[in-house]
Amino acid sequence: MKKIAYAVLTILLCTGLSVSASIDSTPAAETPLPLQAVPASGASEALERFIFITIPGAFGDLDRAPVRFFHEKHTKTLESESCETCHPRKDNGTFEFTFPKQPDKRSADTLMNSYHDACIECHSERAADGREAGPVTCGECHVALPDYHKTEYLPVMPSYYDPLRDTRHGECLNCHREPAKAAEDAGELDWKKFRVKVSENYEAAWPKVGFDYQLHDKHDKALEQKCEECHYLSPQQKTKITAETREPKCKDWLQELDPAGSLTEQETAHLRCINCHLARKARGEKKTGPVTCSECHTDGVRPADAMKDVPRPECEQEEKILIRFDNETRMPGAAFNHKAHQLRTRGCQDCHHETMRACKECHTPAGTEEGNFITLAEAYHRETSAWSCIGCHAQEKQRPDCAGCHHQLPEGLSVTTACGTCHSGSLESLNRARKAPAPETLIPDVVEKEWEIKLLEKEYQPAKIKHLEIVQKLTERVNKSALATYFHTEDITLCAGCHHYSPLEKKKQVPQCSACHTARIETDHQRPDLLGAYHQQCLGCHKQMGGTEEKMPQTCDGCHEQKKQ
Amino acid sequence: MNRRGFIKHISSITGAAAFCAAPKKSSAQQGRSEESLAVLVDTTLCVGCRACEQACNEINPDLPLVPNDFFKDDSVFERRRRMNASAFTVVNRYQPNNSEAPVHVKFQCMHCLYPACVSACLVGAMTRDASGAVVYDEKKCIGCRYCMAACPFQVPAYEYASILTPRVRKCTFCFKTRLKQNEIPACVAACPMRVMTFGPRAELITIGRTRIRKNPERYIPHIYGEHEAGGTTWMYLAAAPFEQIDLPKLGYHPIPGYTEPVQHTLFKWFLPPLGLFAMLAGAMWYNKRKSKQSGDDT
Repeated sequence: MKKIAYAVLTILLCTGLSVSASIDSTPAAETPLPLQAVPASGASEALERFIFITIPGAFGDLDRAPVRFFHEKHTKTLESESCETCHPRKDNGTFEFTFPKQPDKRSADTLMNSYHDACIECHSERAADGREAGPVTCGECHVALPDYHKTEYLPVMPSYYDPLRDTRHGECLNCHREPAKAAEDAGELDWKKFRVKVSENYEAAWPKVGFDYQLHDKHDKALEQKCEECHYLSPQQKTKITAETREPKCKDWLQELDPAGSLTEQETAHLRCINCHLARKARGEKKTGPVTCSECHTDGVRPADAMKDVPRPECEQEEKILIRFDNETRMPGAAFNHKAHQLRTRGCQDCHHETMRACKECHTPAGTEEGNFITLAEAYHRETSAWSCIGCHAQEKQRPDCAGCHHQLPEGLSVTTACGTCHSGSLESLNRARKAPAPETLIPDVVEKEWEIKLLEKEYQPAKIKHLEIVQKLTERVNKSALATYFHTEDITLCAGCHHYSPLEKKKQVPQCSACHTARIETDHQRPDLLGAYHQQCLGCHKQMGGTEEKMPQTCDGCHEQKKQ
Repeated sequence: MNRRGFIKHISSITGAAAFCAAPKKSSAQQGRSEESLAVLVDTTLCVGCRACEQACNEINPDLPLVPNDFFKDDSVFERRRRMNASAFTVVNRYQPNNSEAPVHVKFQCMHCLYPACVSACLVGAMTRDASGAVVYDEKKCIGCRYCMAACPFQVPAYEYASILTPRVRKCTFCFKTRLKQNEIPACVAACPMRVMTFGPRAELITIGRTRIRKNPERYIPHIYGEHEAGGTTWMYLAAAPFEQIDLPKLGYHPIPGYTEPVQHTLFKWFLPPLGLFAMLAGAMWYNKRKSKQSGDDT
């Protein structure tokens, strides 16, 4: 047991950075990594960022609050000195980012003492010399912060609970209020208590660093396209990358640093990045790369649009692929444009997780442990995951430009006719993307450009609906979106945003809203009445598209002129 | 259910309620009838037009008439309002942490299934109708305001300004003005966004769950009021945590369930008075015997 605790300890302190990342070891991290951000945060703010030195299991119940550690403050103060002040240096000159240099792991007490010795000794020495020094008394480091270290448990329903079928399970619901979805997503579940651990509430001090295309391009240029500096398979294969060895396989490329394969992604990244940057600095090269926390760990995410002109990494991947695994599968292959997706993502890891392998290697048809038992079909189709095709597209549809129509429409795989859009069976379908035609060619001639709705004429002047103008604006926005131009397969698809559930044909009149939405409130509550339908459709779209009050009014007076009395 | 059936349904419930108001049950027992009516409020739809406030003001002639301009005035959203003697319902605007767009929430009497005000009322001025409405009778009211203290949602207001005939004021669920005429509450009818759905409570719960299931991203997976305080007639769906939109975190146990067992057990079989009288009788008997004995001595 203690061995494990020490292993955790070494791992945690290896980098001296975010503790929470290691504690939060939930395997199914569904969201992609937040990627490298644009501006560095303010210098003073970075100095105030801290991590907790906590080693779960090593010390049992703590007598004092865990220590807050300000790494950036230390690097700033010790700028003139080397990392060696705190971190052990190997014979070949590289650093291991662990602390203290020689932890005494015989017992909890000795371990504690090695921390105390390392910190306090240095602090008091510096204070004696009259240099800037850190605290030496207990309470100055062990500061109790009630906002942290909270573990909340949330009661959940087991996955077999069906809220629609089991409408009378009032008794169970007295304690378990959340349906099963939350439990599955949260990862850690105590089935005895039917409770999900919500948070450890150790706030990550630094946002994760994402290696996006811009950062890759920067390295590419600085290293003069010597890919092998970072991508190599093993020490033996540290040669110029050839066609066969070009793709770094899994974590093999970390072997030199981590023969046992026990280090986390974060720890290896720190070992490799910082050591390389330090070595370049020592050699006196011009472009060295950052070595302090705040220089890499910046807030915010650089959006894909901001990297339009950044060249994408060269890879052996074909530009267009027909995703198809064997001829036995029922669906025809799905046509996929890899290059188009490269242009609209922030980094390779938006889809590829931390390796550059093909999806099917980990996500086999039956599922493997490596692939988190997510099957091949699910890897592409899971609606709730931002890694999957469907999930990512669903997220895209939440953008204001799309959400106006899509927030009301049935989504995802519930629309069975949508399968063929991807599963076309031929690469030719990739050429399908084309602009939506001008609305005049679709709207029947008998339809006026604008008309009045007099439903509330007792209270207000008639409301004007500028039909043609609305469709023109929508067409304009749709034509800007690559996703829409590809997936709106018919010329008339756009019309379905408002004219839902009605047959649509070019130049043919569609049934009026009042054909389904009656003037009276229906007692089965399946659909809103006419008044509700108009308001929900118009205002719902205005709200989602987030337009200005002038162009997309969200108040009564915006559409309805007051009657003069 | 068709329209005719629906109306029959409502009228039979209210009729039956009027007919057999007699059977005296404890308020904790009378609560969850399957037929009771309810309203489901979908706060994700509300745009804060306050048509409901206006309709409420118009349908209740004993409320002070407020000019139309007041209901067009957006500045009321600047502060958190509460129901008062001149308004049975208010709409507030919130800015929860997880959303950019403001959220509007309508408040009124929740018409609990197990109303604490009914339990607290000494004279039976508050009653719960089988239709779901918690009805106030100003003729019986003695003005003790226990109902105001008992309400977990702090709904009832009081006419402090009226010196001679102050009343407790709260939403009536349009019980006398509309429900009895087979009409739906005025605010529900007036809402242009159809934020509120009116119908049998069990059906509304199914509708609410269907909405949550179909749009898991849009809603917090919980119907507020389905179980809170033993269940309420007005239930809410929301995208933001309910505490952030002023719907308090309450237990699922009916509020009168905490007090009534104590009171009812304590006073069962007339026990405390009997005990007191027995004690007094004992003391009397003892004193008498003592004086008798001392009398004997002399």
